Amino acid sequence: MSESRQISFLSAPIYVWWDITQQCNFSCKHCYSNAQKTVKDELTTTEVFGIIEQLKEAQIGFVYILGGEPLIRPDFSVILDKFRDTGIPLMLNTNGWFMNEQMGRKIAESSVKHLRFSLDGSTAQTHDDLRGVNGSYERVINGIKICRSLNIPKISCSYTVTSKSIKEIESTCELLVELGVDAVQFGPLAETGRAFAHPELTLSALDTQELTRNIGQSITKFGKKIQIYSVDGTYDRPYTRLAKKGLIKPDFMGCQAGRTCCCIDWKGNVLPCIMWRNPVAGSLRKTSFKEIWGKSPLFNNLRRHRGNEYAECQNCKYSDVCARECPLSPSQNTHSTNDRIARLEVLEKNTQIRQCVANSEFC
Amino acid sequence: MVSKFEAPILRLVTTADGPVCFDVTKEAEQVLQKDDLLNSALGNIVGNIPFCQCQCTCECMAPCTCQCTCECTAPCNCQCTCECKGKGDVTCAALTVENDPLVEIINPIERTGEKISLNASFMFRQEKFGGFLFDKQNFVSYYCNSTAWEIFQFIQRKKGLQLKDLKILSDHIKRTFDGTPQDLNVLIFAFVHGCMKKSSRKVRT
Repeated sequence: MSESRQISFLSAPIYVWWDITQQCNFSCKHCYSNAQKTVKDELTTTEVFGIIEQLKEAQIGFVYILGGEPLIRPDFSVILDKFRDTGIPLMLNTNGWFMNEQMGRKIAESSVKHLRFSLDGSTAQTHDDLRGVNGSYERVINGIKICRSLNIPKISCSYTVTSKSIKEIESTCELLVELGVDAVQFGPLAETGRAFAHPELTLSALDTQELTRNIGQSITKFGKKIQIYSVDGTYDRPYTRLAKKGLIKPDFMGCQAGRTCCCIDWKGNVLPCIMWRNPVAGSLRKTSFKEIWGKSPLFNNLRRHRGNEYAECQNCKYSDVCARECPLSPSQNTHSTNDRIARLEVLEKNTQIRQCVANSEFC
Repeated sequence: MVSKFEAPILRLVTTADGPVCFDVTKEAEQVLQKDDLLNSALGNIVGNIPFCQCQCTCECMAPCTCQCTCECTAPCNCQCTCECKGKGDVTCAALTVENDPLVEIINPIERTGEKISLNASFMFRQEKFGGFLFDKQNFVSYYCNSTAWEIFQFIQRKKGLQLKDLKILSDHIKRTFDGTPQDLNVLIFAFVHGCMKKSSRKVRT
């Protein structure tokens, strides 16, 4: 029965994003989780421990801890201990404000394999303006320096690209090379959470092209010293390019939500994706993780075969591995039909881009 | 339940971000009606993403056997007869071997007294297609088919396996799967050998 056909998915996620708190000392204009100074009814330490045990039982690959600001939780240290004891490797995101020698050492002794700092510019003016707190740039740079001197396997930065920060990509790469950071991820601002209130920060189709060029130039210049990449939507990653050439058939294509990954929020709700707060697949306060992942109607819906909905999916050789584009990507200007058309029109009309590309080092 | 034998496979899990039908690059080419300048720009900004960066032009899908110095752990895009220096021989170190560091190891398979076991820094999980392996140190995901999964399970059940006892493993696979080939021993030995962490092979100096 074609109605019940499913595309590829795993028996448990490869990784889980876990917004372990919604509390944050910042009020960033682009915060996807709409973090607050104080939050009620967050998961207790006992509840967090219970979920960690469930994730261990589910044999997930790793947990990516985010927030809010994870380090703001008073029990964060014991949570790190619990993860280490259960053998679950971690990736940890922080704004760097609370980073000091003691916390750095704690992280170095934990199961954190990858520590990521949020950095949104190469200058205090740009970073602090987006983060809403003076001194935040200085603190995050200091945090990076502290952690770099410790035995932490990988340190990276995530950089949310907005209309205000798009000019500082190359200078940020240069700065991070000086700091000895291993990698930097550039992600176009997603229109979710608090970013809804700041449409002036969203990238235009033209900006997206500039972003692509800037990242490419930075890779050319600094790529041997630091890993530089962008999240989905700016350009195709290698496997995507190969798939589009027909050279490989990937195991998973397009949106991965509910197939290889999912998200847990500060109240124990299981969500398809970190950028997607509604609808909820289930609550870990009521239902086990295993049951939510395996039986949630929402996840099963994400795993549905698209052949009945889109003509181009009916006979596509990738239809059993593809969930099509991210359903929440209006800001990326590359996915929805209207935005793609707009982008192509820009490409066609804007001779400046063509000239720039022709003169670039890529040719 | 006995199922049909397939040669054991262990490879990277491959994920493509965007669906094929959303190929903006192709459309851009059509719109521009020009050469692939834009395509070049888009195509070149993939540096140091885990992928072989050698630049030869062949596009077959054989495992990388070239010898370049890149440290990627992904299959090579170039492959085949290219004479570039691409780093082939990428090992998913799903198994480790304990051996005598004083003994020169040319081919660990031929040695006795060495014990192979599942790599403790890997997570092994059963899936419908066989197994999912996750390298917890490097955050890399691997796929294995049912035969490979059975091999790993056998080694785990035995709490490690003497290399000299690989024949026992071969016999187990014969009993478990239908249609095993004549050269099953070779296949299994080669697979197990390929899964061993190179750094665990001590070489006498």
